[in-house]
Order: sequence, then structure tokens, then C-alpha cells
Amino acid sequence: MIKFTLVFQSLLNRWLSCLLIILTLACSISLYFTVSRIQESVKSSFKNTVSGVDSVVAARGGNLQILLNSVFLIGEPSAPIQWNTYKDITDNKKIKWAVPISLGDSHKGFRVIGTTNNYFKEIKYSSGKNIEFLLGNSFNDVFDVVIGSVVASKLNYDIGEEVAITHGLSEVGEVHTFHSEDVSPEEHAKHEDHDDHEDHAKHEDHDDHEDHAKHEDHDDHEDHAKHEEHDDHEDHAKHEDHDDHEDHAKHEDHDDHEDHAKDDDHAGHDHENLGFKITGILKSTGTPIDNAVFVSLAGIEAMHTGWIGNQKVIDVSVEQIMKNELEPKTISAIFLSLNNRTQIFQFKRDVLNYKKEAISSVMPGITLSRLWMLTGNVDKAFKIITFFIIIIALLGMIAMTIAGLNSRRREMAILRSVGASPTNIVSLLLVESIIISIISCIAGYILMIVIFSLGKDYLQNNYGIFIDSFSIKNYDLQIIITIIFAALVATIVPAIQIYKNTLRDGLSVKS
Amino acid sequence: MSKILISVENLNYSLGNNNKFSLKINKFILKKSDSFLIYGDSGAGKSTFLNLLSGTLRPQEGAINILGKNIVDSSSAVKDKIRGDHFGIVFQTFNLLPYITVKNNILLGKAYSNRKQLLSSNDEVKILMDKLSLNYKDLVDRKAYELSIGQQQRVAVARALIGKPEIIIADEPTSALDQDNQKEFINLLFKSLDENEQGLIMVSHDKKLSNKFKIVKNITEICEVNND
Repeated sequence: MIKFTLVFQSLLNRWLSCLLIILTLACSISLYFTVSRIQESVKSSFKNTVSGVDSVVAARGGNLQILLNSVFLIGEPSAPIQWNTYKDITDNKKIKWAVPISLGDSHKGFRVIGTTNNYFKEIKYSSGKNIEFLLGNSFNDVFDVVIGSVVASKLNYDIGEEVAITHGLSEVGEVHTFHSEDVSPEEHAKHEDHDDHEDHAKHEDHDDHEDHAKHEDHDDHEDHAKHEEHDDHEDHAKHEDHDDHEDHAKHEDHDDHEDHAKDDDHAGHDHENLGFKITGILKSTGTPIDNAVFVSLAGIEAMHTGWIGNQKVIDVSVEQIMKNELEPKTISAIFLSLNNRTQIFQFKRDVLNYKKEAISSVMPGITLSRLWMLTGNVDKAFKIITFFIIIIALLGMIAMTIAGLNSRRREMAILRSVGASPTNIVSLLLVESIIISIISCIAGYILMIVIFSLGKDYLQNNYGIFIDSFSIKNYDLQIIITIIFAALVATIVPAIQIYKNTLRDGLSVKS
Repeated sequence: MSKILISVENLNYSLGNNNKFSLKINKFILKKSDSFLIYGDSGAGKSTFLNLLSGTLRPQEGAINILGKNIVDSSSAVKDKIRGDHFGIVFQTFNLLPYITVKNNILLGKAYSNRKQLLSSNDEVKILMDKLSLNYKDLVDRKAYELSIGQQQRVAVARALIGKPEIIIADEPTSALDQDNQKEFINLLFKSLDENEQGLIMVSHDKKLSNKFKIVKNITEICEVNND
């Protein structure tokens, strides 16, 4: 007992140098803990998210980008694919189920996924677990919204709450709003016109716009805007120069409509509502699903009615929207599962041979393993660096112990005089090292918890990294044992020194 | 005839291979209730003599019998055990671990000895402190560095005496004390010794404190030192 007191008091006596050593060790250990946890969490979150999806079909592009974007909601959305393509692809006999995904909007920084109710039925996470509803249920109506558990808890949302969807992925984008009208019978006739126009705008304007977006031909778009303002037919003539404006009638219609809207003087547009209503909250999955806001494809279509590219050009009322057939023009990707997974390569070829559009099929599993190969080296480099940092900290501990030895020779002589053998004295030193390394491990662990408590939200919101458990993992124990062992090995140097000292000094106290 | 605690015969010790320093002892005996004062100049071999007796130095020839056991050829572990069990040692200065309490410093004296732990009672710390005029209540939980040098030396005596070792060795314990304190220290040391059980060897550079000791010898009478 007194021997332990001795070790503790001796450490306390040198508290400053010990504290510094513990700090350096703890920092390096927590670095290791943190890095391994992030790595593990990234891997498991990635692995868990794509359960049961055999292929992701999207516009041709980098496989990784497609996967990151469509499945993990990271990065900018890839180019859209036509709804007709979805229809064509799903005609493929090899497909068991297909879920369309439409991305590009957000709600308070959380990404909006436009999809169908099949999403909740077919998409699995964590090797085959079903997505379950904590509250409410899936979409029944165009403006129904289902939110992930993190969205619900972060924003403190409940069933029935109204939410607005922001255009684009930043938190400061323009909000999709809707106006409702009190439609009077006389006006109704006029509105028939609108609907015509709406259809028109939807079918052709949209495609047109897609062209715009692809070519980044903003001038054109501005011209377009001018048109609306000036209603100038001479301008129209100029427009004939532009290849993509095949249909002039469209423009006229458009302008007509603008006028019309102005004429209406927004009489019945006084109620601007947020549009969407939460009908379901999902249970936590520990995957990016928790961070998503789900809207039906019809809802996505509805909120983009009257929009061209990234700008709202026409104010369309809810009633008008609802009169339209809300079938999407484009989507971002298709998640699908095959009847027989061995047909995946045939299916991939089918997709590549699709003539109407350049699309490709991404296999999540293979793409992920490519990603691991890519990140594997970074992982290793990181681990090696943290390991070196730990070694440096241990070297610091040796330096401190050796530096302290000379001033402790007196202490050693006293211990020798009361019968302590050189081995006893060396073991005191070893116990000191063990105590320092254990305290450092505990401190490193606490530091790791602090780091994650502070950075959890940031990691979750920005990188989709979920740190849900701080419990000691196997690899933690391994590193803890390694560190304690390394500390013991490191103490051998000062231990040999002190052994020699005690033998040489005997009972003669050297100052 | 009282029991022999230490007997040294025909001892020959030299340091290093070229025999620059060598020390010879023909005969030295410490009996129970003996009190030795060995005086002499520094460099005369006092420290070497004490280190040989306590088993931290190994002589090349001869015998050192501690309580009848020759320790010369014993392993260092055995010698450490013998020292822990049967010796109480007081140094010149800085006898205590400054960062632990007075109580723990005294208890340290028996920390490495089962024998001392068996022989020591729970209140021995208090008994010893009382004998050595150390105010138990005030001082027992103080850190050693807070004590005066005189108090520290008396705590060192308490540590040496705890567990009733047969052999007490004091290596110039009074050299850091002023004259009044020296006298008081010696008085208290003798008062707390159990003269029927223990033997004392004290080395000092002068012999002015010799009046209490039964045997007073110059180191040169015991050791023949060759120091070239």
C-alpha cells in the first residue's frame, strides 16, 4: 500500500512534467482513437447505406461521384436523366424493383430526396434492415414530407408541421413557396389558358431549360427574361438566331401568361404558404437517410413548376399546380435491385447500350471497394502518422524519466537502505510508466469523447459521418495494450540506468 | 555473553581492477547492546565500511556474518532482504522522501520487510515519535519537506527503528545539526534504542559526541585503507 502511495506521491511531486507527458500522450492517443473511429464510422455508414441496392443508374459520369451523390448525399448532384429513361429502364425484365431519386433541393441544410413510397419499402440499410417509421407514414399527397430522425431531432419537428423547401443545396437558396387563390368563376375561364400554358411550359420549356443548364448558356436565359419583361416582338425576331429556341410560340405563351399574372394583380395570392407538411418521421438508421428530407416526385415537380433553371420565373398557384399532371420530367438517379444478381453485368451492358441518353449503372459494392482502395492508403498514412506521434510522446516520457533520475538518486538510496532491491526500484519505475500510460489512455479517451461531442454535428451534417458509440472497441484495447507495453519497453532505458546507479551508489547518497 | 550481531573477519575489498582503493578489516564484532562510535576523516573508508556491512558492496575476500549468516557470497536479493529485515539506517542528511508524509516516511522503514511488519504494532509510529520528541498530532500528516532539519533527522531515526531491527547504522546523522541539536539528537537516539536487543554503529568525523557510546574507535583501528 505504502509502495503505491510512494509511486503516486512521487508522480505528484513531479506533477508538471508528468502532466505534460500525460498531455502529449493523451493527445496522440485521442488522435488515434478519433481517426480510427472516423474511419470505422465512414466505412460502416457507407457499407450500411447501400444494403440491397444492386445498381444505381444515373447520367454517365464518375462512378464514385454518382454513388456519393445519390446514395450518400455528398457533393454536387450529377446531371439529371429523363423520366422516360426511367420508364424504359424499368421495363427491363431483369429488374426486381426500381426507386427513382430526385435531388437538388434542401431544407435548412438537409438534403431533399424526391422519391416514391417504394423507397421506404425497398431500400434497406445495415445488411437488410427495413426503413421504419417512428411516427406517421409515407406520402399520400403531393405535399407530404417524410423526414429522417436527425432532421426531426435537430429541427425539433413533429408530425403535421409545415416546412419550406429551399431550391439548391445551400441554406440561403430561394425558398419554394406557393400561393393559393380564391378562384372566382369568371376568372376560371382565363385560368384554363394558364393550364394550357403550364403544360406547354412544362413539356418543352423544361427540356429547353435542360439544354440551357447543360450548356451554361446564361445569355440566352437572360434574353428570355427580357422577353418576359418587355413583351417585345422584335426581340423575338432576334431570338430566331438562337438554335435552341425552336418554338417561339412558347415564348409568346409565356409572355402572355406573365401579362396575365400581372393583370390578375395577385388578387388571390395573398396567402403564401410553406407548402409542405410532415407526415412521417423515420426511425434512426445511422446512415445518411437520417439526414434526409423525403418528398414525393410529384412534390418535387410541383415546387419546380414555374421555375426555369435556378430561377423562379412564374408564380404559379397551388391550385394551378394541382391541376397539372405532376409527372417529373427528370430525375437524378434510379436505385434498383435485380431479380438475379448474377445478371448485374448484363444489366450494366443493357444500360450502357441505352440509346436515348448517356447513362451508366454503378454497382455500389464494387465502387465502394474501389473507394476503400483509394482511401486505404490515406488510412494507413494516417495511422502511421498517429503511431509516430505516440512514439514521440513515449520518447518524451523516457526523456522525462531519465532527466528525473539524477535528482532521484537520493530517493533510491533511501529505498535501498530500507531493503528495496534494485529490482524493486526498477519496478517502481515501471509502475510509474504504467500509471502514466493508463492515465494518458483514459485522458485520451475522454478527449476523444470531447472532440466528438463538439464535432459530432459538424461531421454528421457535412460529411455524413455518424459517431454513435463511444464504447471501447477491440482496436482501442489493442492500442491501449500496445501503448502500455510500449511504455514499459520505453522504461527499460531509464530502468537500466537506475539499476546501475543503485548498484554503484549503494547507500551512499549522492547529491 | 550477549549475542553477536555482526562479525567481520579477514575482509578484503578493493574497488576496480587496478586496486586504487582497497580496504582491509581483520576483525570487527558488534554485539547486542553495543554502541559503537567510529570516527575518522573523510576518505578514511567510513562509507565503504558501512556499505560493506549493509551488503551493498561485495568484498573480494573474507566473511561478513550478519546474525550468524555469512552474506559475502549471498545473492543481492538475500542481502537486500537481510538489510530490510535487520538493519535500520540513518543518513547524514536528506533521509526522507520530501513529498510523502512523516507517517509514510516512517512506515517506509518496514515497507520492504515482512519481519519488521510482523514485529511492528499499529501504533508504533506514535510510540517512536513520542520517544523522539516529535509532536505526533502536529507532524504526522505533514509532508517531510515542511520539517526542520532536526525534526527530519529524528523522523529518520524513527524510520530506522520501526519494526525493531537488531542493527542500527547511523552515517554522520548529526553533521547537519547545530551543537545543541546534536546533543539532543544523540540523547533521543539512545533513549529510543532498545539496548537489550539492538546494537548501534555510528560513524562521525569527530568524537566529541562520544560520551554516550560504549565503544569509541578511530576508523583506522578497524580498517586498513590503501588509497593511492
